[in-house]
Amino acid sequence: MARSFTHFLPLLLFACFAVIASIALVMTLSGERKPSELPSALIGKPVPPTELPSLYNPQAFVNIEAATSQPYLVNFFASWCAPCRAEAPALAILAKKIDIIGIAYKDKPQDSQRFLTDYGNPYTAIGSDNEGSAGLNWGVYGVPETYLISADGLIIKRHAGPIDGDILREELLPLIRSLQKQG
Amino acid sequence: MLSPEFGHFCLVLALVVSGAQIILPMVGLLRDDARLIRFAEPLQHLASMAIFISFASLVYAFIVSDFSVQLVASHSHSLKPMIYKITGSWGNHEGSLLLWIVILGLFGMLFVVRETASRLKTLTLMVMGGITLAFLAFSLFTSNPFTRLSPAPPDGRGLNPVLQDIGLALHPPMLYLGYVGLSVAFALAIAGLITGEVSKNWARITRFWVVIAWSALTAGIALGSWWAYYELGWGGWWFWDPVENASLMPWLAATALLHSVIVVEKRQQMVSWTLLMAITAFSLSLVGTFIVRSGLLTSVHSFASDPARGIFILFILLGAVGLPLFLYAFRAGSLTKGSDYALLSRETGLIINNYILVVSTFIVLIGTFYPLALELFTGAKITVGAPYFDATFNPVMGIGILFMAIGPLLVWRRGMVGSARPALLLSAAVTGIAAIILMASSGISVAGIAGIALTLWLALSIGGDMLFRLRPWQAGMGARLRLPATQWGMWLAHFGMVIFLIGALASALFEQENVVRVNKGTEIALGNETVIFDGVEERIGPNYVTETALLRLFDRDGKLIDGLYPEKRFYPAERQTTTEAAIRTRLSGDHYAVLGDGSAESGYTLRLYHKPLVSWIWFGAVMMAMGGLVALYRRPQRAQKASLQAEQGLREAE
Amino acid sequence: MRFFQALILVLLANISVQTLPIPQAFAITAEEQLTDPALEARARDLSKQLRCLVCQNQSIDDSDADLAKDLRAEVRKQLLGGADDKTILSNLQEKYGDYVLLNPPVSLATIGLWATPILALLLGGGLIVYSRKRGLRTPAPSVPLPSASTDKELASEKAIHMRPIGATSLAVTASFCILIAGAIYWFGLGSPSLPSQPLSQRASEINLEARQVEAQLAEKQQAFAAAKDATMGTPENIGNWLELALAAAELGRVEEELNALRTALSLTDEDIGIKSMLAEALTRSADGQVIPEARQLIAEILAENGGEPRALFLSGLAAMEDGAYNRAVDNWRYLIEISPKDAPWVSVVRENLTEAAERAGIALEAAGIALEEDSETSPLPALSQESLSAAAEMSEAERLEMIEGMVANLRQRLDENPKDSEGWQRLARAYRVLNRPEEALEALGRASAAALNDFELQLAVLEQLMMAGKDRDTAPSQDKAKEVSVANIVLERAMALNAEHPELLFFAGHFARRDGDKDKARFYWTKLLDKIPASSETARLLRLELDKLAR
Repeated sequence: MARSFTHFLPLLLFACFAVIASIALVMTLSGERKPSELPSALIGKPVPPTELPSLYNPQAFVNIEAATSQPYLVNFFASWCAPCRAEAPALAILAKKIDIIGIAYKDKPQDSQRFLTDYGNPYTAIGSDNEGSAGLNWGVYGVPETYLISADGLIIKRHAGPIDGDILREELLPLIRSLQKQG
Repeated sequence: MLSPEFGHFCLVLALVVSGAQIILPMVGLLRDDARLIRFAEPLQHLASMAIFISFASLVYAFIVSDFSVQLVASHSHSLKPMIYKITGSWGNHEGSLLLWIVILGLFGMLFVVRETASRLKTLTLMVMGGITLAFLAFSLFTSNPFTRLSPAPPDGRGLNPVLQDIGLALHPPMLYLGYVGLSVAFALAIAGLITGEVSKNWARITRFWVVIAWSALTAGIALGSWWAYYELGWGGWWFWDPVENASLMPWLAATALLHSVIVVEKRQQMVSWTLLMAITAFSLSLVGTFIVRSGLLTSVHSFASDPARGIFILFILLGAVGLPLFLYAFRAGSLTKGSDYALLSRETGLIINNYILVVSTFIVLIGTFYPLALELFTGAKITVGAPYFDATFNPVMGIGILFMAIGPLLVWRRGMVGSARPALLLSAAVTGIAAIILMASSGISVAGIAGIALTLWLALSIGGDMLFRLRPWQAGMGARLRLPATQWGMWLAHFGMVIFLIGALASALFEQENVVRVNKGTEIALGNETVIFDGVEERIGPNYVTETALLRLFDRDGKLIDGLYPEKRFYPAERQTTTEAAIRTRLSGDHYAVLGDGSAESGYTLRLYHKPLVSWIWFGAVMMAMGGLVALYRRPQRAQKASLQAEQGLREAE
Repeated sequence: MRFFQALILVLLANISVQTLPIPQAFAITAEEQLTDPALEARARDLSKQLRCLVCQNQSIDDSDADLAKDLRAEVRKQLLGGADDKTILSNLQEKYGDYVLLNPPVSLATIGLWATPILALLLGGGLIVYSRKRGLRTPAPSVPLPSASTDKELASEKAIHMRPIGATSLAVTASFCILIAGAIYWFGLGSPSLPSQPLSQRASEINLEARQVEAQLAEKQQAFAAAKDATMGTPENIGNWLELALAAAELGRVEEELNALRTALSLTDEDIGIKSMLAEALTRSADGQVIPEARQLIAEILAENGGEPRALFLSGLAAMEDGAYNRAVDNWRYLIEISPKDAPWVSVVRENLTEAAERAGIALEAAGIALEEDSETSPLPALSQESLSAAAEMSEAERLEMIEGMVANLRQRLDENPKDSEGWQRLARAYRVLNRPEEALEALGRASAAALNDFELQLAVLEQLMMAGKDRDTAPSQDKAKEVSVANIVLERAMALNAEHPELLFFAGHFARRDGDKDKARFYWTKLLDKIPASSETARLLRLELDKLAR
């Protein structure tokens, strides 16, 4: 009997599978695809309205609102989080370029304060999210997390995990620069 | 004799021999030189022996704690109990890969011994040599178990308490027996495609190997599921995790193959389909290996630390699946024959069986890989979890069970067993009534009732079938009992499915759970029973300290049934805490207790379950595996004739 | 969690046994539960549909991760607020994305996922009907029903005709070849000369070791007891306390060691030596973390004697902990320079230094780029992180050789393409690591000259110059003079571009002070002070420095 299309079907299906698996593997190995990284659901959306007591002055409040004149960063950190220490130098560099609002996530204020004395304070304002409710609203799944917000209050990017040299150079700084030029 | 270097040499030798096992017979076949063709068999023996010696020397290195072998140094410890020293030799990537190859060698050897010489056999051995070669190369070049350390460290590093577990030690070999066993059917299918002759004899040979592999795979999956149930401590037994799916897919495909190969054997139908299934089943077990060892889907613990491994196994996958499917695409057409059976026939029943199993395999495949594909093409990440499979896989399986009750009652070519109609009608009626009563009187969900009804339907139809065939109320049942072993095996396996379903349904629908904070003397209600907490005692184990909760279990009349002692262990050397659930297993159900955090002042958190009939899940699986083995039993000639006569008699009676 | 975790555990065992997640059975606790059983049942049901984002395919109902706990609490909070199941799920989906739902919602992206099962069911059915119809049109030759005997068939297939084996020699040759090939391969792959070393046969070796260890322990214990007695006898003798501290340290009894040192310290007038021992002991007691008390001590010691080796080493450790790798490099480089070549700590310090330099390499690079961000990407390869880490695994000599090689390479390419300012800076950094200050200065001069019109780059060069200067605070004066003269040239170039820039003002002040010109330094820094917020930390430090200058 003649060849029939149906007999090629399995080969075709496997070819699809093989292509996907190969691309995935190559991308994973080259580090382009980071299996543990999650895209934020809030990208392109306005910042969730956030009002937190200020870390150094609990009577005052830190507000994160939609409208600002400048792009800025929001950085979730905690004194109990080891990678937060690792990203301190990168944040110090960033602080020269852009305003950073810090949110101390599920951390006792005195611990956060000591952390900032020890590792430097790159923030223009710091809110204390003791209960982690702001974290929930922002979809934080692990500190440190850094969000880039445009001048019109939209979340442009989320980086989960410590900011290292590569991330700083290749992802954050170019984005910040282009946002600032737009502004 | 069993020095690591000798083992290493043997592994290399096996590699070379496997290469020769492909090349020499191939040259022989091309030049029609029988001398070269004959090399296939002794070479297979040689390769297998070399692999065995190699593995033996690895195990020996573990037994004598030869820490000059890197693998031993990093996975063993002089203080480990001997049993875990031994099982530790395959409790790691390199060793488990070698075990995989050992099983490959074992199957190769048995195949040589069991089958009579033929062109088919030679070709099959060549393909198996190819598989062995690929995996040996994988082992030697990316995951060499015999890498040495000099100077040897004074002691090993592998004393992880979590890995010292007998369930953990036993289930991989069982699972591999299944995975690798499918390679024989795979090799036979390729040989069949090359020769273009897929005869009754081919099917008989293939069926034997498929059944062996399928039974082992069933047992392996059941063992893994049981391990998770007693060790992980929250009472679940299946979680639709990618790695679990990786073992379920080959099982589903192998089940389809198991049934379709019967059609080839008896009726010479579904030939190309069966070949495809044989290729698919083994391919899916390779895909499973790929998933687990490339770090693609179990991403958190990535294997990416050694890129060579992921790439290597991808190439094995491409070669081992792509080439056969290519061959299939061009050759399968010539093997297709027209069909000559009526709509109502055993053939149709088995086609439906295959159709359902393949669709469900496909669902698992899609559910496992869709998130990956979506992420690659759109960057979006989604989760496909248990609810998805409950909504898709379960209904399809439900349809399958619906037909599973009817299929065995059909006869080849056309019609039904004469006695089938009353049996089916009766079970349909009983099932219907039972479903209506449940619907009206119990709060069970529709899906639950559907499950119960289907299980009942299947049980009744199998029971009815047995009853009407054996007719115990008539004289001369002795002769009727001598049915072919395949019939008994089928009944046993199908009835295992019923038992499995009962366990799964009962434990899901009637589970009692109670999470409470307790102080000394607290009474906790758990379904009909009561549990009294008598406080926590500190005990000292061989290499750990433990907090043991003292629980007494009372029945509804206040009579003491048993004690339950869940533990929380702390291993100071490793600074690890583990929880040990206390499980009281009875046929009627399990009482399951887990101890959480707490202190004498603030009370302890306790999690208690009663899971009715849960152990039936694994009994069912064991029955299925046994059913497969029973079906393989071949009576001596004379008895065989008698059983055929019995069957003939049955047919005439219809 | 999954049952096949068993398999994963097995397979991962070789990767990191120590960091494996232990199957932790406990998820939901009694306190989390709602009192209303109906609501609680709904909460449990919802929890089973939500994924714990940080776990592997685990629902928040099963997981004991912190995040899962938070999410469980959130679900219950919303339930108490009267939300219905759908709203709760979609609320969480809004924040965490589709990923949080174990049951993927039907959308454009998941249409394939949901349609495939149905399509497969229909397509499969269609295929069966189709092939059956086609099959029926071409009826097959009728195959007889299964019969008892298939012997004939068996016979027909059994064994193709085979010629008898005539050539034993062929078999012998083939086997021989296979053996040889295997042996050759193995010689390349294996370690033929290494015998097996079962533990039992190494008993003598290991026993000997154990006995030696035991003997040493006994000796140490004796020493400890003796020292203790001595302190009891003459508690005012500092030497006795120090002996005791040493003996305690040998035995790893940190508490007693600290005690002894503190007593000894109290007996002296703030002796630096004892202080540094105390700082070290404190650090050891905190598993290598330089705790605040130790830091305080180190600061005191260094204020008094900037060359105290222990304090310098610990100060480097503290800097590493803070991520201030440059400072650590500076500290340790200095320590090695002032230490005698054969001092026992040199090799340890060197090891630490290598690591710090590596890390500083990254941090510096990030800093460098941040300052030069507008320059085009460099065509020259960097001294990449990979090659540097490779260097870490080599011996000291090999490592230096490799770095030298890379540096020479870079230098050659720069000579060919001298316009690459960034490249020159990288070269300067490398020279600093190699402790070749002259060349570093020269490279920095070239870096500045290569980018006359780039203000940011000039700033970067100045920063490097400043750090290079810190390397050599004790250097002979002509070196310092050279540094300042290079700095002045660069400063002039930068001033021409933007004389008012705060960072530049800072550098100008710094180099003026190094030059010994206090007035000039005061001038620049006062000017700078006007430009920055008075309340900032920088301003505070600057005022401190200005005060010092005024004195």
